[in-house]
Amino acid sequence: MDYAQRWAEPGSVGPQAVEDTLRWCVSQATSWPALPDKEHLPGTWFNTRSGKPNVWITAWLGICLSRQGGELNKAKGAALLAAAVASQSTDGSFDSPHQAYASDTALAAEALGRAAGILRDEPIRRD
Amino acid sequence: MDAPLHSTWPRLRRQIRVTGWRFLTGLVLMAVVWLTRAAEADVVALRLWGAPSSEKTGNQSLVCRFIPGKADGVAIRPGRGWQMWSVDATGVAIDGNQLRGKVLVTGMGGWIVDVKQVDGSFHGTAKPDSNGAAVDVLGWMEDDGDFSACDLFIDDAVTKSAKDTGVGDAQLALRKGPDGWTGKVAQADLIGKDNSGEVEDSGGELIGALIGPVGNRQKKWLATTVKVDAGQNLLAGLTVRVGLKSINEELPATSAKWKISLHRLGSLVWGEAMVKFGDTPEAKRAVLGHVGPMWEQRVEAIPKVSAFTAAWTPNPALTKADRAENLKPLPHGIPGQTEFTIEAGSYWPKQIRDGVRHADYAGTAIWMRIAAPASELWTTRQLATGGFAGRAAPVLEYPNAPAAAKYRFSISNNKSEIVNWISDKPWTSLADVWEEVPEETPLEFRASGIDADAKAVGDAFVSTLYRKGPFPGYAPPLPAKDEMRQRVLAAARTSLYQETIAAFQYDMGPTFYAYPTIKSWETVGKRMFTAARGASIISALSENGDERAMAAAIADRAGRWALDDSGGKFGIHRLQREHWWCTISWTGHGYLDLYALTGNPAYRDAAIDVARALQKTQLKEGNWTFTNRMTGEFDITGHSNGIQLLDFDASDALNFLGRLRQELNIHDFADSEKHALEWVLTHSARSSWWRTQFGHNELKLSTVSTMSAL
Repeated sequence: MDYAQRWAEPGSVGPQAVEDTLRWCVSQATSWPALPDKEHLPGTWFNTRSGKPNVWITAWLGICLSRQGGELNKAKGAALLAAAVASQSTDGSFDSPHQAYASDTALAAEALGRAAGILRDEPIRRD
Repeated sequence: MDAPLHSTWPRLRRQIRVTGWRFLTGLVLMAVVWLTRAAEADVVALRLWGAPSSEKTGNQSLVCRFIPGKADGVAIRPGRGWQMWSVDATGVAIDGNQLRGKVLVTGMGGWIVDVKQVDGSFHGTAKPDSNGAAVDVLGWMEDDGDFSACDLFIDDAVTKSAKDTGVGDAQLALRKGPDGWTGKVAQADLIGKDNSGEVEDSGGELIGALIGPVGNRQKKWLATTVKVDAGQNLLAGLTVRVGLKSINEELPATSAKWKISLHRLGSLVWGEAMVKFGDTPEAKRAVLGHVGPMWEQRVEAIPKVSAFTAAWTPNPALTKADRAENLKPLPHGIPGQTEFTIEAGSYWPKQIRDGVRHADYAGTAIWMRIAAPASELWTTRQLATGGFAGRAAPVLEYPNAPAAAKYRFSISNNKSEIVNWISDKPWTSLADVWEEVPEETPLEFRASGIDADAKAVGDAFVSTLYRKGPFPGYAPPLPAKDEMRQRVLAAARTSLYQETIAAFQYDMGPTFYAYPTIKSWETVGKRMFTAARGASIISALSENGDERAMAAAIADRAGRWALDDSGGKFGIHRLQREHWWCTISWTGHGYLDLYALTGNPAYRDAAIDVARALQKTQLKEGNWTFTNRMTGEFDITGHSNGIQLLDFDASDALNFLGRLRQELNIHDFADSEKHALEWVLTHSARSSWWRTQFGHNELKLSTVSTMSAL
């Protein structure tokens, strides 16, 4: 059963659920200041629990939005990805308290690599 | 003159007798010595460092040196020198110079220790506790000789009173003098009583160090920047993180002698994998390879952000579109129809023994239906208890609303009421009034019950409301691919070497772990995953063959250690027994990465084992809950206190199973994968709540991958 069939089933959810999730993420946890600066990263997705900016999630959310249709989604995705890049320090790490975790740094790197088209970016097929 | 024969024979007999006795005595002595040595070899001797806290009971952080031997028939791995583990002692009591307690050896179960204090150090023996916990070695071994070369004592560190100080920075400056290393700590709120580290030298000059606290319940330090200045001062920028105890708890203000042991890297023998570090700087460099150069390289390589800030140009058309988009309500639950409450379990009281989730999980005392934690459950209801700040119209609930005919809601600024409306339910969507709500302005949200005559009923609820401004519309492009390649490589290097140096090359214990949990069996998988993912990126992007090989070797070592860390007691790898929302899946991803990197079929098999563990522990609903680290069975006891969710978002496991199927062409777990998919579609995707065990909506790698595939 593929996803197209799954959506057609009574009671199932559709791509709108994904759109809603992304919309919630952006609405709830990002900030869009007028200009980027180190103190207030633009478009940073904040961890709802810690309230701290989380760069790797920002980058992955950027990828998700970029894959969605519509100019608005793509623009938001681009802004988030650029925000993740903007938060990178000269030593390669990210200006995010959450990035103290090496695993998060690796995930941020991977997200940016996928977004830039220099790493393979193939979602898992569901067929 | 020769003695007559009759007088010689008795003397000869005496000599034979004496010699025989001596021979027998020698044999006995040799047997005693041999037996004694054999007995000694069966004892694991402990040397513990670290002053117990002034409380003299409770948790202690110590470092122990184990002398190779056996404990209850379990062989400690052969080592030529010593092994250093980080241990966490619980229930420690000090009576005179006797220290008794249960020492947890990096999560491998309890050891009972009897320790005596001699000359400032603790010595003793250890044996596994009555639970028969497996004994394992998570430490690393070093030849004799260089261990104490750089011992350092800092006597002026003062523990300051601190209350959840969060993440801070400290600076440690050390100078090597005729009496060894001396130094002071500045800008510090330090609690570490005993700290340990390793230094790396090159041609006799120190070039780096890692310093961290000992134990896993104390503050965590991670020296992320280390350099030696012209005056041979070793400067370490330390990240200081408050330990578990300090959360919302006032720490005692005490002075403490503070010891840092800096150990030169000598010849390291890494477990049974026997990754040998050479004795000479050249040989050592061959293994440590690019650590030094890469640190320098990444500092040079990354351009500053200002290079592309000019592209952040607002787009009014997109702003207008976003403002219209934000008038739509956020997805939310409806009481009685979709989630408004959650199923949760309490880990306390722990005396409840029936902690296993039953097939129908009915009637289990520790299960309950509770109101969803408001601040976490953004998408199913926007409980305004803590105030709401968002961009799109939320659904807000009137908490503890009294029974009333109707409910009145209003929004005000500091001068007057802006808008009000009536609802027959104690919750409301703000979509209809959102256009009237000013942006970027602190507001008041008020809810009250009213009777048929519009008179107030019960207590009103007042909270804050803040409508964020819309998306400005800027969509800056990413830097060019060449620059992105540098950036991504730099981040991967940071990740790989921070993690692997900290966790795999120098110390496998929790001393330097980079994830805030005391559960090393969880961090083991995560470290391995991190090393594997970082190495995968380097392997894909680096044009330097030596670097690619080095990265793969580091990840491979991490993977081997993870593989070797198998207890096998229940046929499930230790890393796969305890499941949180992501632990097993991350381990599986790490193994898949390593298989792709190395082609070693052991990693392929390990990934399949992970899938089997997931299959075994999958709930009938299609998702997963906690499993016990020892048994691999459902078990919600023994975790941290407090209420935590028992139903996790299944997308982590779903994502791993899908990857396994796709990359290895293994379809044995297709049913499990489809079952998980069903759960995701009918829960996370429907509610937009991709929940972790803490209930927060974590947008994870697997979450976004899943969403991307939906």
